This record gives sequence, structure tokens and C-alpha cells, in this order.
Amino acid sequence: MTRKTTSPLLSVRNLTVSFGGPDIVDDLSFEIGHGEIVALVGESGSGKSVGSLAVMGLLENADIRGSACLAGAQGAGGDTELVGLPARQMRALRGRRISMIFQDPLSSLDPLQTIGSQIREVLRAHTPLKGPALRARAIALLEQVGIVDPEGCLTLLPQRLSGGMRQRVMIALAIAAEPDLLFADEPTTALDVTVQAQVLRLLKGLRDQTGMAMVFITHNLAVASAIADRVIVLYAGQVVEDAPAEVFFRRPAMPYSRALLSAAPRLEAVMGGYGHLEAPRGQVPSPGQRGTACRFASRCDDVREGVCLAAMPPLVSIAGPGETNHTVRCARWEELAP
Amino acid sequence: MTTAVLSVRGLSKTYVQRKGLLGAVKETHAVRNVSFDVGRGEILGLVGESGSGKTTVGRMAMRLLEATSGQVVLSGTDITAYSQARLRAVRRKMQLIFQDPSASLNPRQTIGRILRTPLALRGIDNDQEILETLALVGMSPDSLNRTPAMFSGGQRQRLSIARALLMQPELLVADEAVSALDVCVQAQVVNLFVDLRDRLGLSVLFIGHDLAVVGVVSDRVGVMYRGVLVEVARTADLFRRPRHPYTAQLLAAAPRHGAPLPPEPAPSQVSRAAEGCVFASLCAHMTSECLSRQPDLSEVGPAHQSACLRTELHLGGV
Ligand SMILES: Nc1ncnc2c1ncn2[C@@H]1O[C@H](COP(=O)(O)OP(=O)(O)OP(=O)(O)O)[C@@H](O)[C@H]1O
Ligand SMILES: Nc1ncnc2c1ncn2[C@@H]1O[C@H](COP(=O)(O)OP(=O)(O)OP(=O)(O)O)[C@@H](O)[C@H]1O
Ligand code: SF4
Ligand SMILES: [Mg+2]
Ligand SMILES: [Mg+2]
Repeated sequence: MTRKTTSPLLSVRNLTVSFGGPDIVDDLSFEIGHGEIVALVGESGSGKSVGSLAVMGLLENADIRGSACLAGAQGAGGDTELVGLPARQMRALRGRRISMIFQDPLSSLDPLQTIGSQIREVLRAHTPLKGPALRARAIALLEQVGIVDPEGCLTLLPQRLSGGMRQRVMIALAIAAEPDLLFADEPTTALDVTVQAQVLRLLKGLRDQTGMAMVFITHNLAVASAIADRVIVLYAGQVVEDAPAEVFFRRPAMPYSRALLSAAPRLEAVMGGYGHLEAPRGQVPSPGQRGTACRFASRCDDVREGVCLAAMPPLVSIAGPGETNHTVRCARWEELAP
Repeated sequence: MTTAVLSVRGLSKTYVQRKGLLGAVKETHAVRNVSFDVGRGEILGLVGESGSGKTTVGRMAMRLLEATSGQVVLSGTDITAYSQARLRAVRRKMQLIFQDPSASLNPRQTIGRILRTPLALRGIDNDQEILETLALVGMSPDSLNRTPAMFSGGQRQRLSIARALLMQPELLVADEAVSALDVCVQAQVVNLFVDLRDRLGLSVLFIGHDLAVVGVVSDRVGVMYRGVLVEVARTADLFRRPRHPYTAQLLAAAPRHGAPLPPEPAPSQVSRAAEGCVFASLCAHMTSECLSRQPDLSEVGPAHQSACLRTELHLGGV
């Protein structure tokens, strides 16, 4: 039998997460290909972090349903179902095959251990490196993420680093074992644009060299456009659009995606204090108040009562024959297409 | 001439650290000789790399941090030497908004209690103004009975802005105030600042690292590098026709919609000289003179100042 190279690395099916109350993440389905960089965007509270943490097995007291299937390591075969995986097996996968850069870098570094001992710990757990080779790898990692004095940095405690430096250390820890899949939750938000560009080049370079796939969570659409092959938009716990990046930025199909793009300030449109950004009115419905119709309806300029409020629009494929997959959740997508 | 709401002159901050008991003394020049004005009803943006001293400048301007040297003048009054007691009277006129709104909202108090405190300081005890301010920041009156934990990050940021506005400040220092917000809420808050400037004549020192956001909201923009204010100009002039090589490099590094990643800048050719221009080691336009002294900010065009010896340079912007 020939090996199917097109099968995804991660396949999330109907993932639903709640914390005893209403569903926070609701019937989430998407795929990440080998070596693919996917930007996960969407309003604050839409479930980007909770969904990722659920796949990583890092949510406590959560009720998780559905499936998240990780394809076997190259050549090893055998898929792993991550939902419900026993904690011991999950720990063995985490760091080595799937890894995460957390949204809050302070809370995820041990304040009592030097940067050096935290990096060595990860390298010992996931690689055969020892002694001078281990130290050399730790230094190389810090250099890779743009730390100017890597040897000095090894001896420091986290509190001695600026926010931007901590963020870079977090990235070094997450990529130390060259995982197959990296969840990066707002990894460049605390960084100035120069370091941000450096980190984006680094992450993209890693993908090119090692084939690491990445889920890149961000509010910054310019950053998403610089790094992503594909964009997935979440709104109120659901996928509302999933499109190749180049298609998404040219002609987004879902009204909420369009609202996001017009709210984002653009460097080319410097307005010198006379700016007015197009903010959509109203707010995202909270998890208990999402209703049964299109969840964007109360804010949508294109809403039509009979069509949009009748039922929840399904996620439908709108790609033409031969085109890359493109799905959208909008009852009027066809009429509204440019 | 109208007086500036905030005028800082020659502000510097040097941190001195000693390594061990008898170890060598290490000096960090966090801010060096920075001067600028924020006019009435003006939004001045401040950008620059991480650690360049933006927050330090903002805190010194509010006298929350003692300057090593330099002057802070608020609406014509030199407050540099004011005692804490005298400062208390003027502090209401300047409000600071942080990146993290939790810092200014007590989690155990209701929003109503939090917002009534500034009014009590002004001797007012009805909710009329609170309700108007809530409307101004796009929040509903029923927010008053809730605690901060019941709001999303963006809503909390708007509430902390409401709290600051109720002090009736003349100057707001917004330090990364919109950085953590998603684009929709960020757009609402940015529009709010511009609106308050136009309607109430509010002055804002707007610190940020997203150049697109700063470009939208600011009348003028200053650029900092390693503690030095290297360029100040009207926003469009600065973005389209930068005159300092660091500004040009910063603009080139910013991500754009639909554009590929900018290429890696060329590695440094010379090592850093302690005396010379702060940017010399990374500058493509460096000459031997640049290694001998740090140039002062000087006029290079209408309302356009740059701290680069090569005043003839005209660089590519966005
Ligand atoms: N442990 C928890 N218990 C209950 N609710 C939670 C918990 N963690 C998150 N939530 C809720 O789940 C929703 C989704 O949160 P999540 O952190 O995934 O949002 P996000 O899309 O990552 O937003 P942001 O862009 O602000 O980081 C929010 O309404 C949040 O309040
Ligand atoms: N208490 C301190 N002791 C020693 N150095 C300090 C102290 N506080 C700040 N610094 C240094 O002063 C410099 C300026 O810091 P500041 O926080 O003003 O930078 P910033 O421009 O606001 O950076 P960012 O964009 O990361 O917020 C940095 O090099 C920082 O390490
Ligand atoms: S389904 Fe209707 S309300 Fe929802 S996004 Fe589409 S047009 Fe707008
Ligand atoms: Mg999140
Ligand atoms: Mg700062």
C-alpha cells in the first residue's frame, strides 16, 4: 500500500469543550497538514486558547468531547487520539511531538529556576544530548531566538528578563525538541516589530527546515498574513471561515471576516490622528447567549431575517473544482460573494 | 504661543547596579536627554524597540519615577521639584492607562464603587457623569453592579479608561493601552481617543509598538532607540519620509497585510562605540564622524526633527 502523504497531521473533529456550564468551544472541526502554518484568528473570548489547550491535554476540570487525532511520527505509523489520552502518554507526547507557546509567558516559566536549568530539563527529557553538547544546544537555541548574550542568559532567573526576552525564552523552550506541531498562542504580541519580524522568520525557517507544522494564534492580521498558509476564523466558539491565506486576504467570504479586516489598522493608510477605524457595532454573544441562529447576526450589516435567523448556517465548502479547500458559515455567502 | 500641556526637557534616567558586594558598577542609561512637547488636544505617539525607554519616559513625565536629570513642565508649571504632597493636587490632571487594565481596577470592588471614587475626590456624589462617561466608552449602565472579573479584557480596558476620564485629566499617558485588545475592540478604543481629543481637547502620550495603530491615532510621532529620542515629526511625514535610519529600519520591519516577511537586515559591521551615535553599529549610512558623538535632535524640515548627523538623508518610508 502506498503511503498517503496528503493525510493531515492533526485532525480535529467536532471538538466541544465546556467547564460545567454552556459549551465554550462548540463543535470545532479543522485539519492541520504536515508542515502547514495555520493562523487562528477571531475575537477575544472566541475559544482560540481553550480549543488549543484542549488538544494539548492541558485543561483541568473541563468536559471535552469529540476527537483530535494526531498522525503517527514519520515512518512510525499509527495515529493517536488525543482526547481522553491517559495523562502519562500525553506527557510523553507533549514537548516532543506537540508543543505550545503560551499566551502569558510569565506564568509558564518557573520563577525559581534559571533559564539554563529550564532549557536543560526540556532537552534532557526529549533528546539524547548530554554534557557539553547539551549546553551547546541550549546556547544555540537562545541565539536562534535572538537573545544577544545567550551564555549570560542561561544563568538568569526569569524575573531579570524584560517581557520581550521572556517571550523569546518561551519560544526556545517550545521548539527545543523540534516538535511536529507547535501551538503558538500570541507569541509575538509583547515584541517590538524588529524582534517580531525576527521571530516570524525564525518560526517560518523552522517549518522550512524541519517540517514543523504550526497553529499560530493572533489578533494581528498583518502578522497572520506574513506567516500563514491558511487562516481559520473563530467566532463565538465556532469556525466561521477556513481559507487559504492568499484567498482570505483578497476576498474573505464571511461578513465577520470582512469586519475583522476592515477594523484592522494598516500601515499603508497612516492617517495622522484623523483615523477612524471601522469597528463593528455590538459585542460577541457570551457562551450562554449564543442562540440557534447565525451567531454574528446581531452585528451583521447583511443580515436577512428569514434567511439568517431561521437556523444555524452550516459550514459549507465554497471552493471551485481544483481549488484549495475553502469553507464558510454564512447563509448568504453566495449572494454576497463579490 | 499656546503652552504645551506637557513639556519635558533633557529628561534622563540612569540605573546603577552593582554586581555583588564589591563588584563592578553597571550603569544603564535607560533614557538620555529626551525633550518633547505634547500640545493641547494633541496625540503624540511614541514608538521604538523593546527596552528603548518609552515606559520610563511616560512614568517620569507623570513624576511616578524620579528623573536622574531634566525638567517636567505641566501646563506651564514646572513640577520637577514638586513634593509628593504638592504633586497630589496636580496628579488628577494626568492619568496613566496601562496595558493590563487589572492594574487599575480593584477586583473586589464593583464597577460602580470604582467609578465613584474619582468623583468623590472632586466632591460630586451623583451618577450623572458616570453614566455619560460609560456611554462615551460604549458600556451600558448595568456595568455598575458588576465586578471586573465579569468583563472581557477589552471591556475592562474601556472601564479603566472611563475611570481615568472621570478624573477630568488634561493629559493621558496610554502605555500599550490597546496592545492586548482584539482588532474590533482596539478599533473602538482608538476611535474613542480620537473622539475625546476632538470633543474635549484631551492630550495623549500614546505609547505603542504596533506602528499601524500609532499611525492611525497620533498627530505626531516620536521614535526612541536605546534611550534616545531619535526622530519626531508629523505622523505622515515620519511614516512616508523618515529622516533617521533607525526609523526607516523600524518601518521596514513592520508586517503588512498581504505582504511577505521583510528580509533580515544586514548584520552589524562595526562594534558599538560608547561615545558615538546609538544606532551607528547597525546603520547603513554610518560615517567615521558618527562614531565620535551622539547627535542632538535638530530641525531637518518643517516640524520635523532628527538626531542623525547626516541631515541630508531622505529615506524610504511606507
Ligand atoms: N477555566 C475556565 N472556566 C470557565 N470559562 C473559561 C475558562 N477558561 C476560559 N473560559 C471562557 O472561555 C471563553 C473562551 O476563552 P479563550 O481563552 O479560549 O478565548 P480566546 O479566543 O483565546 O481569547 P483571547 O483572544 O482574549 O485570548 C471565554 O469566554 C472565557 O471567559
Ligand atoms: N529598575 C530597573 N533597574 C535597571 N534597569 C531598568 C529598571 N527598569 C527599567 N530598566 C531598563 O531601562 C530600559 C528601558 O526600559 P523601558 O521599560 O522604559 O522600555 P520600553 O521602551 O517601555 O520597552 P517595552 O517596549 O518592552 O515596554 C531597559 O533597558 C530596562 O531593562
Ligand atoms: S448568515 Fe447572515 S447574519 Fe450571519 S454572517 Fe451571513 S449574512 Fe450575516
Ligand atoms: Mg487566548
Ligand atoms: Mg514599556
